[in-house]
Amino acid sequence: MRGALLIVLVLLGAMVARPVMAIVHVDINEELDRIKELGMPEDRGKVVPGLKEDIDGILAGRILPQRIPNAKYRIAVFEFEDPDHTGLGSAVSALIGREILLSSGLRSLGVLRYFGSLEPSRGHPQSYFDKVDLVVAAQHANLAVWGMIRRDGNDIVVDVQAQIPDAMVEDYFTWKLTLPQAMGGETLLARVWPTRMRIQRARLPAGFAPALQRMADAVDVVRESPSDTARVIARIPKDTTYSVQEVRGDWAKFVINGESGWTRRAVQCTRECAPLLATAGFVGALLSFGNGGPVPAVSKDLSRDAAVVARQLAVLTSLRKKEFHPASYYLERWDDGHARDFGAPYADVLALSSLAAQLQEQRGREYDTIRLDDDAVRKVATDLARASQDDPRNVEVLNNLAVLFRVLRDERRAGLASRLSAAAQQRSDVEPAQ
Amino acid sequence: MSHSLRNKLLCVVLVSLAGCWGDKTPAPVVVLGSVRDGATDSALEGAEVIARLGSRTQGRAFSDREGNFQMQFDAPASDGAQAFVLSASLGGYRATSTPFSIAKGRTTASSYPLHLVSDALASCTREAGPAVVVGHFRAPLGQPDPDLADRIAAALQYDLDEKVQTTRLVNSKRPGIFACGDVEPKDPERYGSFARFLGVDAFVGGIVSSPGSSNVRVQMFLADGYGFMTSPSRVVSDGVDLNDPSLSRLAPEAMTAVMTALVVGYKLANKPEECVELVGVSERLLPVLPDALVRLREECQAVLPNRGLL
Repeated sequence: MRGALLIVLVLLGAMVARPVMAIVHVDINEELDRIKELGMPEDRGKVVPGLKEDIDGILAGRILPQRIPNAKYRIAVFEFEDPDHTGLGSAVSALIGREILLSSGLRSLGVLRYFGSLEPSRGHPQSYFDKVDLVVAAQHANLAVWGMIRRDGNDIVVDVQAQIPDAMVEDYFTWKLTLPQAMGGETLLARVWPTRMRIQRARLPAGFAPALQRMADAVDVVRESPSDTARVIARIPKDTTYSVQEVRGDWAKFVINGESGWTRRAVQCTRECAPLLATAGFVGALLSFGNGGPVPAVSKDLSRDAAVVARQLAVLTSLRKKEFHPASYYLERWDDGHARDFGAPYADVLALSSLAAQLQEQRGREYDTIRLDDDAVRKVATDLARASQDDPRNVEVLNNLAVLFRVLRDERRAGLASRLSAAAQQRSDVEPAQ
Repeated sequence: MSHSLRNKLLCVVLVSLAGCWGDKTPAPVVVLGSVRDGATDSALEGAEVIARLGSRTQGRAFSDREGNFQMQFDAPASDGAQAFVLSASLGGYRATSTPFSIAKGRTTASSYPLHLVSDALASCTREAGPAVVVGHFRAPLGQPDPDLADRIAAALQYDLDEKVQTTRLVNSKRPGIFACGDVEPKDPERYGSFARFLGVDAFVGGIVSSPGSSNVRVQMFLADGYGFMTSPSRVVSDGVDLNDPSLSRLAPEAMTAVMTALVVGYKLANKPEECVELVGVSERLLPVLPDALVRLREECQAVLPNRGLL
């Protein structure tokens, strides 16, 4: 009885939440062409702006038409570059895209699958991360995954790249600390970085390519019921939108063009294939972190960038829970007492955590009357200034240093930090997005 | 008029006339010089050298086996120095010219060295921004592969973009990779001077040899244009199928050499921020940061304005 009630409640919850899980297949260069074409002056009335207008629109914060408009989260997965003609570019992106869709745990997620090369071309001089950024920004995607497949002797090397758009970082991957009025009342900011990262470099035996291709093909097979022996009723075509109606174990029920059928998760993706799913797990966890989920687990298959981001997110999680610890708490636990290996952004979030911990120790006093000891603030500022030597144009670090030196009434250093920050921002403002 | 006064006047007129006629006499001039390859500094034989005054050709000569030329002509008489132009041309090379002067029947320099740039090279020179040029890869006999430089450049561009696009480098300063398959220094030891001549940070080239089977050996050489590397970096790949496009892959050692050359370029261009950031991204992606990059980062950090924050 209790179980039945629970099922009813879950179903009711599902209906209220209106889950949307969809995949759209798009040719990236056609998309750029289309955007460019529609962007001609005589086409200003059309819905999709041109490339330049697109970028202008993004900078101005305008909302652009979206391909899966009813999905709360959208992720763009690009066909992997395949210059050595392994034939796996589409297969790998299909596997990763589907796995993110089914394993993220998010109730409203759409996957945009883009086809076409991210190499620079005459018509589109942008390349790789830059090209992805344009499309992702236009579609308001929360995250993007792309990659490169190369032969290397008897192996196939798969690079998996991910990038988190600025809007997503602003919304979910930052933390602010406003100092008490007695310390100037200014705000310090920590922001996760890098937001463009290589998540994984997987090495597979070249002989495994046919098996990988079969696994990718299998995830597109739609069956009548959730069983490997059930009749095949369709294959999920490109250039279509579909949604997931129900998930039952390893099986998901899709609705394609009004008809429904079942596809199986990539359970065959084991042994050599399994590391690729680690990427999907990490990306899915990044998305769910934004939704309040736990810190993404970093398996040995993932890269240093993934570890660097996960390390920052671990501190960010504590900060969000108002569990403030000094930097030494994290450094002694993980990093053998020094933060340099994990970069200035990590040092920045640790600096904010240290200050927050010291402010928390003063609880009981009215917040705005608290003024921390200068020596304590100076130590935090000095650590941050050291980190700035490794990442000299990190605007968040420079801005925070300017604030902290003002607290210390060190006008010379405060002024220098402000000038360096302004110079770094000026340069990034003029950075062409193409 | 007295006899003596008449004689005196006659003398003045004659002296004046003699002076005038003297200025109008063309002066024989000898112009010496040499014609050499701008990139390799090797002598160029058979180059046509022409001296012009305005639009009029005054003299013509051809360079000899040692690249030297000697030209003799009668320069128009003039009170002061005259501005001539010396030009040189040779098939397969871009013509070049240089101004020179003749005063009092003599050239103002004892010799005029002229450097010609091959057509292939001229189209590959870069004027701005950090860059790497991928030159000719010599294919095994009977197996030409004209696209090899392009494929290697594309592979290099990805490897580099993957790193550079994750830094805070602004686009205008991002390194570019350019394929110039027609540029063929005979000796890898010259790659550095080619890089300098082209105005780029590094030059990549190589040799594909076939030791007897269907598989080939690819030797890739890379040198920076600053003399930072004492000898070109050499990366060898054995057992490569020439028909396999992955021939264009770059070994990590080659990428490290490229990064090192670019970092040196930023350092010498007084761009310590870019230098530090590029080393930083190398550190993120390379298993171990080479000592050379560690040292370069320290040198760039020493001149960062951020030092004032410490």
